[in-house]
Amino acid sequence: MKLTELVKIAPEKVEKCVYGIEVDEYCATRQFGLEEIGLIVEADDSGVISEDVVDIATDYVDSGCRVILEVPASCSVDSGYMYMIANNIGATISLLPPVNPTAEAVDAYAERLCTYAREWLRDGQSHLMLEPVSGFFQYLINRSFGYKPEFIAIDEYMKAEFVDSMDISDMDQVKEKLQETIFDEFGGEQEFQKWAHSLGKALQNELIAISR
Amino acid sequence: MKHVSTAIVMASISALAQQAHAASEINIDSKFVSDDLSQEIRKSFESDYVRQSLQYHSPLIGKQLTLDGKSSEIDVQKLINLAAVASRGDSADAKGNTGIDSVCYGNCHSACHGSRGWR
Repeated sequence: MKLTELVKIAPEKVEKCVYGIEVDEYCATRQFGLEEIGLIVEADDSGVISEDVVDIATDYVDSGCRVILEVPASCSVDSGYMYMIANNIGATISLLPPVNPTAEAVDAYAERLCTYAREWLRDGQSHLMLEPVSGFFQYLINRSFGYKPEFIAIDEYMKAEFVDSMDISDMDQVKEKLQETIFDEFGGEQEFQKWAHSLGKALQNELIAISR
Repeated sequence: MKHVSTAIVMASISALAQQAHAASEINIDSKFVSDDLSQEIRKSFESDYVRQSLQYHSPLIGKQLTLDGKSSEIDVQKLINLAAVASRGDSADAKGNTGIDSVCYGNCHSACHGSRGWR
């Protein structure tokens, strides 16, 4: 859906969470009542993100709405630059899978996720989420504590963008690379396990202190 | 490499809240615990983002947390009360219940990025 169409919908008829919004032009009028909006990121040939997308994202964050910057696989944006923009705005980044999943496109997508994952893991200051990397990281945390979620995803956004729209073998291929990257960043699977259980201990100490 | 960013700590807390919500025990295995790393991670709880996330998730996580199979000395009811106060009663359901789900799970969706796990 285009942003100009979204803002014309009566607030009582609009969903609380809308995704895949194309910023066709800057709209000073906001759609009120939204809890979350997903904006498709557009960039020019040199990889500079559309100012309209940045401005609209900033407006919605300022109004208390969560914003997801949805980066299509076909959009060439440098990861560091994208990350800086999202951090400044306070938005989540979502790296969308390729629409036409050829073997090359899936390889490139896996590589993109790994590049962004390294940025995400190495940034000591950020609080932004990076989908589907942070979602997969969460699964690895659960797995460290012996828990395997019943479903691949339960969140409607995750299901629509990263489950229903991807072939299961492509998904597995991407996750394998991502797991390798995440473990590598922590110094191996054992070190990741150590991190997870040390976090658990930190939580236990904190909760005991709070509940006293 | 040690990674202790607000983002990954928040993502981890959300993951553990999801696990707790599924009534799965979160058992810390002390043989994997590094006290230095644990203390370093705990410092990140001072961040406003982590604190807010922890506030709503703590009753759920506290209920399921064990160390080497033994239950912790966590007063879960007190954590529920703290979360309810923090949400100024918004978490109570139509009957005014402030049980663990209405206080904790109801709020975590509006206060954090939880539940977006991808198995």
